[in-house]
Amino acid sequence: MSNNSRQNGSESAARAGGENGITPSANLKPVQVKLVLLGEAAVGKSSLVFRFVNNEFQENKEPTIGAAFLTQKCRLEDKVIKFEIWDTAGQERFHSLAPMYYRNAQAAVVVYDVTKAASLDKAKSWVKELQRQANPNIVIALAGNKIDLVQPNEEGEDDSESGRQVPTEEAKAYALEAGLLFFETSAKKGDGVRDVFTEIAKKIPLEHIISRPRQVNSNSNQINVIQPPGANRSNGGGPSRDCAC
Amino acid sequence: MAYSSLRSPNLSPMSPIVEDFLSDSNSTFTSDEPLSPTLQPQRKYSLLKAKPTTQLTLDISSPTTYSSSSAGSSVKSFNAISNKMESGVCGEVRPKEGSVDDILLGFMNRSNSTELHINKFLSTFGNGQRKETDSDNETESEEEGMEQADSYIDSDISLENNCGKPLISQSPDNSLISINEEYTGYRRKYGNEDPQSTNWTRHRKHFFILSSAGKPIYTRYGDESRISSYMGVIQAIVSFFADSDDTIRCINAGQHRFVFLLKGPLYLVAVSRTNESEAQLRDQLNYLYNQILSILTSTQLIKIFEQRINFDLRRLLGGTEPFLDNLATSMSDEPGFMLGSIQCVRMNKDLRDKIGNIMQSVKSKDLLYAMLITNRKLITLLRPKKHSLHPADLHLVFNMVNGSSTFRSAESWTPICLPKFNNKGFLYAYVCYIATNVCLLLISPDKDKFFELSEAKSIIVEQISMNNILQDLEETLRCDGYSIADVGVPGLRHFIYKSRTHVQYTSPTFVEPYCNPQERQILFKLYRYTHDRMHSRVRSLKVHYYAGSSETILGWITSSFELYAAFGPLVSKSALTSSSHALLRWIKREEDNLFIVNSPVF
Repeated sequence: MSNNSRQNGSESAARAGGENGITPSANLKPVQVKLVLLGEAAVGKSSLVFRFVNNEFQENKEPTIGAAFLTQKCRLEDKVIKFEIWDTAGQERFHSLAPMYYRNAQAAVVVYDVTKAASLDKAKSWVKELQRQANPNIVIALAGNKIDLVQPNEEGEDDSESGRQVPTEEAKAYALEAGLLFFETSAKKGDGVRDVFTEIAKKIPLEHIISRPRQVNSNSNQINVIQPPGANRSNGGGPSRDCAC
Repeated sequence: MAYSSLRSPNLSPMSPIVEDFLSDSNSTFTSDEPLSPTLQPQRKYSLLKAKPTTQLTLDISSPTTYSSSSAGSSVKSFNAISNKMESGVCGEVRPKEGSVDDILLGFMNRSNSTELHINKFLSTFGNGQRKETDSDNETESEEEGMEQADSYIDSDISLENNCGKPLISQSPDNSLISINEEYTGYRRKYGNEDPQSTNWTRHRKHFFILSSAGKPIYTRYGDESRISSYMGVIQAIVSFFADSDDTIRCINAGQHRFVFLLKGPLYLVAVSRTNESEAQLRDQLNYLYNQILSILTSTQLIKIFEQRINFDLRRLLGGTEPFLDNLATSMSDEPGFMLGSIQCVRMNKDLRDKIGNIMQSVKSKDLLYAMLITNRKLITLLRPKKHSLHPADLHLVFNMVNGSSTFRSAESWTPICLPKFNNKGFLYAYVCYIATNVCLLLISPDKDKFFELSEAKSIIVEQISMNNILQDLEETLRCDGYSIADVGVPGLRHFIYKSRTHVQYTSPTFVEPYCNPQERQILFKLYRYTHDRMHSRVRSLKVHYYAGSSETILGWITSSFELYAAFGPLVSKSALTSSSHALLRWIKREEDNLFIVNSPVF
């Protein structure tokens, strides 16, 4: 696992990862970040997390049942961040349970499949739901997964058949408009996966969490109720805070 | 009685077939319109109304008649079926005797088009050789079946070479298949089998689940959206009998047995040539039904179909195929389903008690059941004083844990309905592997208690790791059961012993001569046959002695146990009796280690 950060040279520059090398020094108390993954069934949510946590990829993975809970520590500059990840099942029948997982989340990754246009629509509806009902400060990232299927220089496999159904520009424009972070990823090859989490970590107001750990959660619902729902939507769901990125 | 309205079987039974073919070509067409069965024909068949259904096969030759935008693929597959239907008429041997067949014949005469389908449906499984079997004459057919057993053993092992590859030798339309792959993401082992192919018909046991509106929900093999025509036939058969306020239970057709289980809005059908009895197949269908309830609860299931009889339940069951598949497979080689009991790990009683005590010590009010399981076997179970856990529910839990590998990689939290406990509501299960093959399950009635239970798990793991308990446990599990040599009874090859008081069974691992799966399957078949004879509703038996060419099987039922023991073919009856007694003495001596005698309660 310690080779996580070294595996993708370009990404190790992002200063994330290397959780094994962390020394428990006094000021390196991990900051807990609750993160939830949402999106349609079979877009690769679990595979993304699996790549991020174990740096592995499993072909033909069975659908997640209910939700899976995983943790991963990351180093960002001088801080250590502990992601507590809820990897939810995408099937319709689990939809009613979703609020339980995003209720206290500080970050959400909404995943769609670049080879399936319908999955972006589902992603949009998740974003809407999050902006309406989740913590107003939640940082949302939109991730288009499975780009390995549409990369042109795929040797051998002609399966790709230019199967992209969601153009990068289109999704990017939407993400910009809705105030989301935007990435295209391949859980299979590992492209872009760490970036998602790194950028989220950068964008989350960490000082805020450190100063009053865990209380963010209990208060968040009240704040949400007090604020008119329109307020959230107009400023793009809140993540457009004054953070460095 | 949703079908009281279907007075004219000439048209109505065809309805779901046509509808599903239309919907095949356009996936948005499937389920969203709430159509009652009475409205359905008027609305959907306006396309076809002008044409008598009997001409259907002829009309197909000009596909453009149907819809301009309909994908070519669906029309192609329709063609393939219609061709088969024609051949079904020419080369078909009609059923001759038997009351059910008479009724069926009468039914067929009333509706030509349905006849084509029924013939096709029945003959698909008959492989052309139809033999009339008197249903009383089971012994004969049983042995006959056993001889053939070596050629096709229906387990996942024998057809291993087929897996993964799309079996589309006959039909060129891959497009349908790929559409469905997108739907679930996960590729099932037999999900790509073409229902027109011989590989598909070769399977010895099929399970189908459909809605009372004729919509396919699940098929053990192949892609359920491609068997809509068969679903239509099943619906037609069922509604024919429903018309005269009767319920179809079983059709015996040659080697095949068609068993029907009608559960409100769901029809479950088993088509088998494994010589399992009607009652055994019905039990299996009940397990499948319970599996669906465990995903949806009966409240939700009934509500959905009350609102929309035409609902496509696959939308809600999406992602659960592995569970149904796993259940269907394990019912063929796990005696626990047949016996209605579960197996627990043979281990030192003290060790079991220690683990039980640790789990008991973390009991919280959020906890309903706690259990430690490994490979479909129970290590220990902690339960409230007032509630025991029904074996059928435990099978569902085992099946869930066993059916998906996703539990191995993380802590999971999932709703589950245990129908025997309460079929109307969900419980919430915390699932986590605490060692390679040791899975801890904590079940709570409250959906918000994940973190509490996760904490409880940490304490359990911490305590269990102390004092070498986990090590001892893993050591026990590594041995994986016990062999018949440990029992030390002369002449005994294998046995299954069910303790009726504990509702648990025990069975040694398979050693020579049952090392390969085919031999095992044959032995299991004999057990199944013995079980059926002894539990026959007409004349149940206390003792059953069966001397076959390769083994002798003793079945023995008392008020406290059921024993099925296999001996060599040449064993004398006196030796068999004394050996059985020796076996019972051994079990009595080992009882504390073989079974969970006192499960810890709180």
